[in-house]
Amino acid sequence: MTTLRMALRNISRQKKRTILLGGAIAFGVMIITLVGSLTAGLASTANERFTDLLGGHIYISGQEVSESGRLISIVGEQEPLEEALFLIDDQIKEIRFRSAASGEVIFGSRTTTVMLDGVDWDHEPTLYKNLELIAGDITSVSDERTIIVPEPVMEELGVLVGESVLIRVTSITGQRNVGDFVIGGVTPDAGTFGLGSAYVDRAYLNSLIGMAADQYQRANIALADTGDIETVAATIERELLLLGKIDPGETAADDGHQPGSGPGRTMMFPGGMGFSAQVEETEQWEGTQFKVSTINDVMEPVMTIVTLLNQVSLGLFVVLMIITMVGLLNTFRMILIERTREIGTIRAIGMQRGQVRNMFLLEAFVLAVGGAIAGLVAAGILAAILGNIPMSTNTPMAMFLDGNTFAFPVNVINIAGTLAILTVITVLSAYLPARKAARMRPADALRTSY
Amino acid sequence: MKTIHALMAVALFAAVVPAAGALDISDGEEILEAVDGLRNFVGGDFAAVMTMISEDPDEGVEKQVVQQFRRDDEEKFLMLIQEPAVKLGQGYLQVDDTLWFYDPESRQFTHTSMKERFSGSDARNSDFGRSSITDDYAVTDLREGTLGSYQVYILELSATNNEVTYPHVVMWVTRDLFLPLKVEDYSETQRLMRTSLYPSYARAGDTYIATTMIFVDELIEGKKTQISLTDISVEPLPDSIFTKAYVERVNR
Repeated sequence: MTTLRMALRNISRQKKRTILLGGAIAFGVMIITLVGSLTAGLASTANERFTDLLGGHIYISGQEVSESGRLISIVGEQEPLEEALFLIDDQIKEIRFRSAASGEVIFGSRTTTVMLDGVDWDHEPTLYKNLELIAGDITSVSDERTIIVPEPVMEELGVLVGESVLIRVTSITGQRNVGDFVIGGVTPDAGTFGLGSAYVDRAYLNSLIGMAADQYQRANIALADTGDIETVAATIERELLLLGKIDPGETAADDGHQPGSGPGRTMMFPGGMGFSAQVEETEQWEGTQFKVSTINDVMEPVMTIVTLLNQVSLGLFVVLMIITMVGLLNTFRMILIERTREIGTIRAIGMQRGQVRNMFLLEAFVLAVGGAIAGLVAAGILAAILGNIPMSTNTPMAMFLDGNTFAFPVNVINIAGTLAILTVITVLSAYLPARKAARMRPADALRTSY
Repeated sequence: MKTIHALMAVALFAAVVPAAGALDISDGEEILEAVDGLRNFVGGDFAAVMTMISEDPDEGVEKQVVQQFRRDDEEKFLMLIQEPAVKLGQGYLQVDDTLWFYDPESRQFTHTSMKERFSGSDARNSDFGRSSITDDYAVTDLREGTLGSYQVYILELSATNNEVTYPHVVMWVTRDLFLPLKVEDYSETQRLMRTSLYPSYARAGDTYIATTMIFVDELIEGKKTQISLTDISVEPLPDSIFTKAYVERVNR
């Protein structure tokens, strides 16, 4: 206790030096905490957005070759997929079998383009129950002509709930078609720079894009445990491969690569996009070929940005810590010189070597903890300020916004890790001067004059 | 050569089509062949300058001037945009089954589709190349009628495959020269989606070329595109025109 009191007194004796050293530590902690929290928030928000947007964690789409050799997006053969899904039945929270098409919504002379998601409402209870509407009523989807549009579509067209619109679509084989829809509800602007989908009845959409009522283009699987995404995806991929329904050249499941990293995991956005590529005669196939992708594939570009930001902040933290460590080492050597006679005195009146060493180490420890706490407080204040600044939801960054602000989640493990590393490094840098101080002979120390 | 083909089709039709009042579906097939013969430049080249006026209720009026080159025998065409300045040098090059779009800013060719709209207008890329109505459509009804002061055959067509842009088409064709005057394109749900009007033709050699085309978007009120052809030529074109190198060269 006496040692601690003496350490605290020593720290308070040189206020300017303490503030500079503690400030450097605090700044480093603040930066890494703030950036770490921001990137965690970005990744988490983007993950949630994409999961909502794409309707699940694993996406299985089908492709066939038309009679004229063009690539069309459809799951014509459903049995192989059903067999593969049977294997992971207990891990599935919900499956959404959907069709999709890009649609030109026409209201009078006004038009806008929106992605149409064909939903089988009877088999999507979660969406039916949880879909947030700012206008209209979800029960309206019982009418096959109902369309639930994102708020920007409503604003752009100047249309109201209950009014009729025309939607021009392109079938899976490239034919132009048009359907009549009635606005049944409006979802809030998700700030997803145009990626927000409109929901329509799947059977009706299918009739417009040249598919049978019970057909679909993509199965979106929501898992009960999101930690299993890659394992479950690999199981599906393996089964489809065994059934000959995935091009062996396109799968990564059996070639030793990390599941999800192969070209077979190409993210697909099926639906009449007005473009169908010609498949070379030698590469054409019979029936449906499947492609499996996961939310992690979609998130890959986002995670690259997050990793880069984390690396930059870590680099900055390391540089700051090196500078701080060098500063600490020099400071403690100076302290050692300044207090040589004092050390001689306290040794002479009975303080043990270990106590002298511990006094130095405690000074460093208190400095590290104090600086870290100040850094955390500063990071918290800054996060609170930045987290309350409303951002524009009309930019690509909107995908990363929680509502209209950035999220700064607290990651206790990361913070604890940073503090532990910081404390150890700080104490270590003070160790050499501390040991030297402890090894001084009292008589020599008392004789010293600087 | 093109002219001979076209005239042969017309002559053949004249010999086959019976007197008015006794038309049947097979006569319609003959009419379609005659129309195909006139629409495509078999055995020759074609060049013209197209002026496109697009009217859009949201975006206003836009004028585009496009130099067009066609060699239908080899299924090639090239369209080079000359106006407006912001699109100067953009080009659409078709070689066999592949249609390329050239962007002079990026200096890149990208693949596009014949079904896409041409440069944001109501015309499709397929409106400017070789077409074969007889390959893609079957006549479901044929009757005689009038369109304004013209005596016409009215043909109702249904697609024979599901890859043509419009599944149902109604066509008004003059009885004397088999020139299409009006075409209505319908969706699978039988909704009128586009009306194409060809109010004026000009003789080029011994055949006829539509010099004015009007494409009306029937779903969006007030949206239409009018195309006028000038500087028409049926002289042979150098082979080098239908190459990517040419498109890049004219943009230097």
